[in-house]
Formats: sequence, structure tokens, C-alpha cells
Amino acid sequence: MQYFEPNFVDEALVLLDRFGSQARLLAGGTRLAFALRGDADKVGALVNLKRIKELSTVSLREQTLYVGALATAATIASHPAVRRHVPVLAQAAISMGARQLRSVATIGGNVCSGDPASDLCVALLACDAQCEIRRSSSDPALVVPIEELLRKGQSALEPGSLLVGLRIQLGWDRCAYQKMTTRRAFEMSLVAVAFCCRNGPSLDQPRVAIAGAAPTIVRAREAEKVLAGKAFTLGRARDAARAAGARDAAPQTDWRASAEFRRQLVVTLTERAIVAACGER
Amino acid sequence: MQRVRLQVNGSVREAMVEPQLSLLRLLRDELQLTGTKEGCSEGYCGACTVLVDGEPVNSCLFFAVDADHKNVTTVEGLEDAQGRPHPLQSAFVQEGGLQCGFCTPGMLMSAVALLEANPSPDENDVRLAIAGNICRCTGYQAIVSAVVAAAAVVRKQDAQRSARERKPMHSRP
Repeated sequence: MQYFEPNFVDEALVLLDRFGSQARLLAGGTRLAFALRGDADKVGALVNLKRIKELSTVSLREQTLYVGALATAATIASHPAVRRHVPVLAQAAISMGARQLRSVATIGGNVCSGDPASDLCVALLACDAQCEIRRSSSDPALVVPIEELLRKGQSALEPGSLLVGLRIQLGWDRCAYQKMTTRRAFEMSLVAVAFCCRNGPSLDQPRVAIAGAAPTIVRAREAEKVLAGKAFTLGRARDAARAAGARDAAPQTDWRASAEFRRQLVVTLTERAIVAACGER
Repeated sequence: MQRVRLQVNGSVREAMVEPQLSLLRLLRDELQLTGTKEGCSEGYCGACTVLVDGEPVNSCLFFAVDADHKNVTTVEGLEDAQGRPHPLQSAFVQEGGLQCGFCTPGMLMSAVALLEANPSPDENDVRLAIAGNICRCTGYQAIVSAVVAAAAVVRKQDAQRSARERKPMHSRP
């Protein structure tokens, strides 16, 4: 296995082009470390991204929050711009695993590893995040909605492409993140719900994103329909949550939880998230 | 093979490593620092917790190449220059904060990181700070008591130290 530490995105893209599917990108490494065990012989090149400074940037650009792919969960949880402008993402980040994991795991790794219950991805889906992807040094960045990437799963990023960062339009101040796990630290959510809506008197562009309700993280569009354009009431929050449980969720039974329990969690956590975001403070 | 140069418990160490080698294997196999334990190897148990630039990480999932030019602290680095145990280590002994002891190095490192960030933690803060560390013997109560007790000792030591440092300026004739 050859090892590289490129200094620029373009250098990394050249390496990806050269080694194709034989290349592995190293960000935080908490997933990769595990995946490489016993499989290291099959990997031609390990490309460590840590020297590429622009990948770690978190910044406000006009009405957009930009989060570089190498930003760690700890950085996202504590960054003033994230906490102020996209609090749902900070809430999801702080809920992730234990401190040992948050200080290392990156948002890019979370998005690219295809984890069906990634906390950060649930929050990103609820605030309509856009993924900035580079495929070659000559092409401009491709901007892909996070939903498209999540729907396709891991294969959404073709070999040779690099997730550079995520863009989130500001204005999702009414938001909340709720999850249920069997153990607080380093355990996948049984169900996690992120709720966001645009600022304003009515529930404008409500977004309900759920993990654990389907094989991938999904938008609960039936629940959103119940809320869209209406005023917030506790009853409406409950109706939307019931719609999420009855019509949006298609959970499966696995060793962590039964489908029926997950469906009930979808209802409970969706209601809690909407009320936490929009109810009396 | 890749050369890494890092500071471990205050000493500069160098090694040639395979790119996929974990920091845990580097510490235990190459640098003979076997205080750090390998538990689950999957990042669930926290037995392998060490500090990298002051932040706790699971060294089983941390690439050795990522520790290049970093400052790593392991349980072996907790004693002071005179070889006296860290107040946390003493408190674990006094409070009986260990049974089989396998989780202890990781617990200690998570607790060190906590006290750096929060010198006056309450029980809940301690439980959150060690949420990523499993004690297979389930002796959590004594561990939590030990960390709270050690925090008081560290605060007292810090106060005495800063009083000593201030003395020449404030000493009266």
C-alpha cells in the first residue's frame, strides 16, 4: 500500500484518478481503520487528506454556512457559526458517540460512509444541505443535494470523486434533533429525527428527516404536508408525527429493535422534535 | 513504510510504520507502552483511550500516521516529574475505582481530559465524560467518586501553586 499526504484538492484528485477504486481516502479514519483490517492488501493507495487546509474550513459565505468535509463532530458541535445559524447540526454533532469519537470523526466521513443512522446526515437532510463534490482537477465542483447522495447510499460517490464540503442555506433557526439509542455513547440511533422549518409566522418549508424508519435516512414528506404553511399547534405536531409513523415510516426489525417499536419511536420523536423547535420557549 | 515522529509523554519518538497501523499498535508494539489496553478494537469500549494534543481519542481507530507531529499522552505519562502518581490515580486507589483494572488506563485518560476542560465536575459531568468507557466489572460508582475526589485535590494543588507563584509579588514586609 502506497501512502500519500496531498497538500491540495487537485493533488488528491490526481491520485484518485491514478489509483481509481484501489484508493482509499483517509479523513478521521474511525470507519476506515476498521474497514482496512485484513483488507489492507487490496488497497493500492491510502490518501490522507489532513494537509488540505481548505477541507477543514467552517465559514459563513453570504447566506450560506460552509462546512469543510474534514470538520470534526467536535468542531461542528462547538463552532459559533454552526450553533447560531444551523443549531440542528450542532445538536446532532454533540449527540454523536463519545468524546473520543467526536474529536476525530468528520462530517465528510459521515456522509460518505453510507451509515444508515448517521446523526449528522439526518440533520443535513433536514436543512437541505448541498454536497460540493470534485471529480477531476479540470472540472468545476459538482453540487448535489444530500438527499440524492443518501438515497443512492455509498455508491453515490463514484470512485475518483472527493466530497469537498457541505453548504447549508441560513434561515433554519426553528429546528430540533431527537434520537433514541440503547446506550448514549457510540451506539447507532434506533430512530433519530431532525426537524427544521424556515423562519416566519407559519410553518414554512417544514423538513422532517428520519433515520431508522427505512433502509436509508429519509424525508417524512407526509408529515411535512400536514405542517406546510400552517400555524404551529400541539395538535398539528401530533397529527404530523402520526402521519410520519403511519405513512412515511417503513421500518424493519433487526436485533436492536422491532419494526413496531421503531414505528412508535418515529411518532414520539417526530412530535417531540416539532414541539421543541416551534413550541413555547 | 512511513516515518512518524511524535512526542509521547514529553519525549520525542520516531518509528517506521505501515500506513494502516493504529496508534494503539504503535504505542504497545513499537514503543513498548503497554499501559494502554486493547479492549474491543472497534471504538466501543474506550480501554485504548489516549490524549492526542489533549483530546481523548480511541487509539485503536486512530491512524499512527495521523499522530505524526502530535503530542500523545498515555497513562504512563500521568505521574509527575518526581514519579508521584497523578491525583486521579491516587483517588482511583483510595476510592476503589477499579476491580480487574483493564478499563482503568482509558478511564483515567478520559478523566484527565475532563478535568482539563472542567476543574469542578459534578457526578453527571463525570458520567458524561466517561460515557465512551466501559467498565466490564461495572464499578462505575467508585470510578465517578474517584474522579470527583481527584478534582478537589487538583483544584487545591492548582490553588497552592498559583499562591506560591504569586507570593513574591504580594509578599508583605
